[in-house]
Amino acid sequence: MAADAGDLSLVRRVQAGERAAYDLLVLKYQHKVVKLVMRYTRNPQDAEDVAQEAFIKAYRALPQFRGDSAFYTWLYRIAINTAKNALVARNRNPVSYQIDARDSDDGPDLLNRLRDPDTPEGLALTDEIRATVNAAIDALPDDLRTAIVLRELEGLSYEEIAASMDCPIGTVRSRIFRAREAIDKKLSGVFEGGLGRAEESV
Amino acid sequence: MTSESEQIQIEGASQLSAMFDGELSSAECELLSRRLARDETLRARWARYALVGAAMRAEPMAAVSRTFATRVGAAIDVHDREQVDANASSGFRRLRTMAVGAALAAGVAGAAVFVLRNEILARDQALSAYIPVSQRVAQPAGAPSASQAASAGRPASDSASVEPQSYVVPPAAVGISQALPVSLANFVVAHSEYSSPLTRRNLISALISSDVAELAAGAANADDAAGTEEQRPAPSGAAGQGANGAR
Repeated sequence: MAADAGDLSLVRRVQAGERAAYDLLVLKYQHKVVKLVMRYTRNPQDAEDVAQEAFIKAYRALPQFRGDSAFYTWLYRIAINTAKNALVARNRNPVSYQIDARDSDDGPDLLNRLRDPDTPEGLALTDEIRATVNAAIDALPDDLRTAIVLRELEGLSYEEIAASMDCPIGTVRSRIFRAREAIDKKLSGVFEGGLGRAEESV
Repeated sequence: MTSESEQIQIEGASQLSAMFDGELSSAECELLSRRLARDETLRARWARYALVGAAMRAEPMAAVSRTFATRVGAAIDVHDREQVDANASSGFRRLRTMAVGAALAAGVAGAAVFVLRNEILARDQALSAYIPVSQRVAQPAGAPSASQAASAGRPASDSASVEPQSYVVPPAAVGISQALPVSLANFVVAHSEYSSPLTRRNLISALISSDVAELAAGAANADDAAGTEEQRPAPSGAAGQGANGAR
């Protein structure tokens, strides 16, 4: 539940009329939502359009969000429904391979590539990001690595981490921040602007 | 040694990290939110923090154009503006609909009052024909109507001076008042909701008096049967005049 506290805090701010807080939710989940929607659209540009529609729908429905589930769970359902509706509107089948990949020389590799709608560039980018992040985490001092792992992987709150590491909450906050900064430094050095797809020139 | 601006930036990033985890106080959140709204660097850092977490958890993620969040924000702003406009126009539309509805209702009510009033008047006139003659307000038996006086070519006062004055109520017409009161009573009870209170009261009092008159007429008939001869005081032609002046 601690992992959702940040989202819920932002949601409450949006519900109170602070529109800018929703931008932070969009920035936080844009990569996941676009990836999710791309399973249906199988086209990065269409996926962004549908994801944008899903974010707008979620914004409209946010006053009714009571926080019974995690924000992303709720957003996930909206995104899936939006993608399905978009698919129906375009009268397309979500999985309609026109060729039999098993008969081809590439075999399972081609099948996997067809199932994953990411462009080769996108796949390479995500793989490289993961590799960079993992390398940065491995290079962290123990106390910073433990703090960021407990936070990001275990989803513990600062208070729980402080109890686990036997240190003040302020120290936990500082350790997590420094760990993030160290990872971000390597990440932003490799990918300026993060995991961003270059704009298509029309 | 770090410069003051760098120190502020580090402090801001530290707060951002805590806010990302939902561990920043609401007062600090508010201040940082304002800063985030105008600091693109800080927003990019926020997005990378999200990316770090997703990469650590090996969550599926896709490359997104760098302007995606900005486009979503712009679309939401447009949506907000449209909603404000729609609310304003729907408020005006609601007001206009209410005004038209009220005008229509007033028109219908006015027409209904007019029609009902005419119906009630017509019904009252029709009912007055059923009132027993004996209960009608009597006029001087010899007093001619103004039309009669005019047709005779002399003033009504002259006619009154010639003919004898008589205030005797004309006798009830046989056959009319015997059966009608019952049907009239039923009619009044059934339709009294449509009549005005004054008319209703008049009719009911007329009915009661009619019963009393019937009793008296019955007694008189009994006397006639016993051989008691009594003179009828008024000429039968006066009954018509009395009926004309009843209401």
